[in-house]
Amino acid sequence: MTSKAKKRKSDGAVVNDVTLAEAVQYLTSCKSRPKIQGNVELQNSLNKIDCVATETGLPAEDITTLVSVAANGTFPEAICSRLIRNLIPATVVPSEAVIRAISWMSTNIPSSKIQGLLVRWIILIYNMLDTLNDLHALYGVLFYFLENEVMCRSVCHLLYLLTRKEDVKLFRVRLLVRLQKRLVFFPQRDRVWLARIKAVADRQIVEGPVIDVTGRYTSEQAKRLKRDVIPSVQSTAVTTLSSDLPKSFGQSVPFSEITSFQLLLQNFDRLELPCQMAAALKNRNLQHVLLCYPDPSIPMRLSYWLDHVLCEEFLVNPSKDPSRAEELLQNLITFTEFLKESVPVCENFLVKYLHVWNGVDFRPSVLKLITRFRLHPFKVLSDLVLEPLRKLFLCSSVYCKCQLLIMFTQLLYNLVTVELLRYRICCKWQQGKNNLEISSVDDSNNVCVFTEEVEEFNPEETISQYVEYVGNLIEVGLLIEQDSPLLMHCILNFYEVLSDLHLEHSMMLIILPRPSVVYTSLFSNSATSLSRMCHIFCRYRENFLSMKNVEVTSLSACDQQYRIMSLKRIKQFNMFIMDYSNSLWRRLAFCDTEKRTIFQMLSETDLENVDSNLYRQCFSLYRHPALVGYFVSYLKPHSNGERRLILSSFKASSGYVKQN
Amino acid sequence: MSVKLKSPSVQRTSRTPWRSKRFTRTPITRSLGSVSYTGVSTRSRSVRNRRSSIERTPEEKSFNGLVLKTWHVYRLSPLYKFSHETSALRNYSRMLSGHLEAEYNVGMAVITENEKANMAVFSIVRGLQKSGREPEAIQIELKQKPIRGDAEARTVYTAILCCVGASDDVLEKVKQPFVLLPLMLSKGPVMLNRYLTSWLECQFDCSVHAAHFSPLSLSWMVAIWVGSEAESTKPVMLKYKVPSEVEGLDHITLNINSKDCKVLWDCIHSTEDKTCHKKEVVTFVQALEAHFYHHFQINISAMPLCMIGTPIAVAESDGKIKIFTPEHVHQILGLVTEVILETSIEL
Repeated sequence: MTSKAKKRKSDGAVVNDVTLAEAVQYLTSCKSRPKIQGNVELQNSLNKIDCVATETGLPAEDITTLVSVAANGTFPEAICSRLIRNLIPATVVPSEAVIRAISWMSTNIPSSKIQGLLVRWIILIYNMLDTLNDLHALYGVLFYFLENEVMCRSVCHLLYLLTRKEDVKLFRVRLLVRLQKRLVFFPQRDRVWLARIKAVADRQIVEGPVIDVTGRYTSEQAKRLKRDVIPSVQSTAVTTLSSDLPKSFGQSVPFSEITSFQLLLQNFDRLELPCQMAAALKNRNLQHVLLCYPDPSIPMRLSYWLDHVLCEEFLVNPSKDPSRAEELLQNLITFTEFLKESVPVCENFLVKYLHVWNGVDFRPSVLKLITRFRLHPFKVLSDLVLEPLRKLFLCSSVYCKCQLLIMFTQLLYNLVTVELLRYRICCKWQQGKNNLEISSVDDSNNVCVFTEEVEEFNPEETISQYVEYVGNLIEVGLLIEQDSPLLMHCILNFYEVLSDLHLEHSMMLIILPRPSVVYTSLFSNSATSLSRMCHIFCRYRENFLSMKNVEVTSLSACDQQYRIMSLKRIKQFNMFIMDYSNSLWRRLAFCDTEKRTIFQMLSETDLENVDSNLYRQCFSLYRHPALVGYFVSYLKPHSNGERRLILSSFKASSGYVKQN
Repeated sequence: MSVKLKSPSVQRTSRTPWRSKRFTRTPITRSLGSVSYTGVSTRSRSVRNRRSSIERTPEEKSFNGLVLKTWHVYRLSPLYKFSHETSALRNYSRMLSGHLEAEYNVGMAVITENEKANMAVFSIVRGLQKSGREPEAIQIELKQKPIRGDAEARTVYTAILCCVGASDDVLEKVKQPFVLLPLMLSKGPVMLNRYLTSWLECQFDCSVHAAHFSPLSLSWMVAIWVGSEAESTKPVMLKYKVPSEVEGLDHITLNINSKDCKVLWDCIHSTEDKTCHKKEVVTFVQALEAHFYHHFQINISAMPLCMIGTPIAVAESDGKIKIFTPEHVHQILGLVTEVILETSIEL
């Protein structure tokens, strides 16, 4: 403090021969009850502070010091109050100052008038505090000041500014309701004081950090923030009046009392559901109920609510503060993950939103929700969902491309694990319902909570077209991003899921990876790509073998057709294998064998100029650029210093690496 | 977004969920249904028979209470287990009165005398619907009854929940126990509106939000309402919001003689055609904007349209409307209902 004060002394303006630093220094050094009358030094110091405060405001550290001076009872009330009124910040008020004020207030050394003045000061400079968290931590302490008659009103105002959702407790509400009978609303006092603070802040706005004196949120936004997006569990008369339960079950239990799964099980037969079903988005117990309650109107209530709120938060009137919308999406994600099912209204919302989406807002959440999409005819899926995503994919960074590919992989996984089965059961159930036309078939189809009419189409067709679509994007993506290893990693993830369609998900469908991906892996510099692709080939082989041995007679006509189609791909698959083993094991890359290779990179004339042995060997196991590192570490223990051997092995590969 | 022409005459036989829901969003035509509800409608005969107990007297059909007042428009999701029965309505009145009292006891520190209501009255507004298939409109009045003396209760707040001219598709989708009343007109102190809203949300598991009219919706309104016959000579008004970068100017208001507007509209739209096309609406508004450009060299179409006025009604983008003529109530509320239902995803 003192060193800083001295520094400022050199350039500070001098009024009455006292600098601000000296003034502050004098006030802090004063012993208890100094002489007031005729104390020139004291008067000078006060005048100086007055002057500086009105002109430029006080620096942050001086405010902290002066708060202590004003509150520690050294000076009489009049001087203290003058000091507090001059605590006009130049830029920000450190929360340290406010904490000191409150701690002095707790000691009862300052008189209640000074205490009241301090609270009023905190209210005025509330928006200029550097951090609110420290002050908020003292919420409980502040609450006790309500007992003080003089300060009550100001403390109420301060609490009003500070209160967050988690602060609202029953005992506090009770106390405030009691207080409210005595008090009226807090009027805007201290107008002149506020004007002084604002005038200084306006002057300072050019320099220093920009502070929003007018408030952090407009009142309308603040009101909206104070209300939860998702309603809490509560009951009203509507459910009690028209309860579907027979009286013999006895007293029904309001859902707000169900706090654990145990309680839920004990009271399952006499639950009184909450009045707002949307509470299920946040309440796990209610989600359990939703899963097994037979009443179809329950999911409808949730759907209608979601419809309205999603529209409001994202399409019609998007809030300036994205945290509300994000919270809603997060809850929706947890909810759908728990149900393992997408909410149709949420799908419809996404379709709408994707067409106006900028591709940045809430990207992870939006993509996560898309992964839960149901099976639809490919035309529909493509028009409404995949087309906007394709545009995003083509014009975004590699990181976003990877996010999208991860999403595509998850969507594929979801389609083949959950949605395919659900679709088949739904179809069967729907046919049964249409044929019988009466209620002999269960009203709910017990595979989905949100029942939707399904269209008749071929689900395998959708999946194979979807894979085709992703394949196209992968090819273009590899070109644009020049075989980025990160992108390759995501691509291989996709093909790992795809390779196991038959064995893992018992589909009669095997779709091969794109040749461009296969050969990018073969010629890549990354050993992971190469080895993972080899692993994927192994999986394909297992799948082909297993599919060959399937009892044909047990299959439906459609599945038989798909089986034949898939088995036809063995020929191409064998070519891939041939190329891999020719290059890696047999040192015969780019060779025309009796089984023709798929790729032909060099024309005959080009090959004439090159040592044929060299290029044929350059992708062999021990010369492959991706594997050189492994090869070296393998040779090291055996080489006994024979470096020539290693170097000659490098020859071919190093040329390739350089080109890359 | 891809749009498929929505023709009201085509009856969908096999409902394909994706198509019915997702392709018909932004309409390119609207029917010019200026006919008010007459009680006789071919498609609702069977329903009407069921409701034959409801008498419709002429005075019920005049909506003088609705006109010449500024209403705030809210949109509601379908109400769960709402009932039109008299006993139920009485019950709601009682419950809402109780709710208001509870809110005052807990509530805010300041309540001025004007905003205090201690009595709620639910009633049915007969005839505020376009077909018998639509649920009847409900009026909620919050009244202030003096505690001492038998002076008459004073209405401090009015809300009207209605559904005027929803398409058959939409009506079909909302099944029992849900009731579709998507439009709420409200007038009165904000505080009471908030109390009522929270009560509705809790009681009928619905969600209430203030409606917003997009510039396109406002264009539809101005075109269709200019086209309707009206005796009033109020000018047609288009108000554009000036971007905040321009200092000293908030709005640009364009006033045109309504007769001239009607002539212009009749040139664009043929009177025999009972449907209004989006192309016509766009042409109409563009013509007015071009006229403005010709005189002032200001490209007004670059600014968002925020308010429109016609001889029969005024609408603002933040969801306020004012109706001038009682005979056009159905037409106006019909269009507003349509616009509001379009914002919904599911319906």
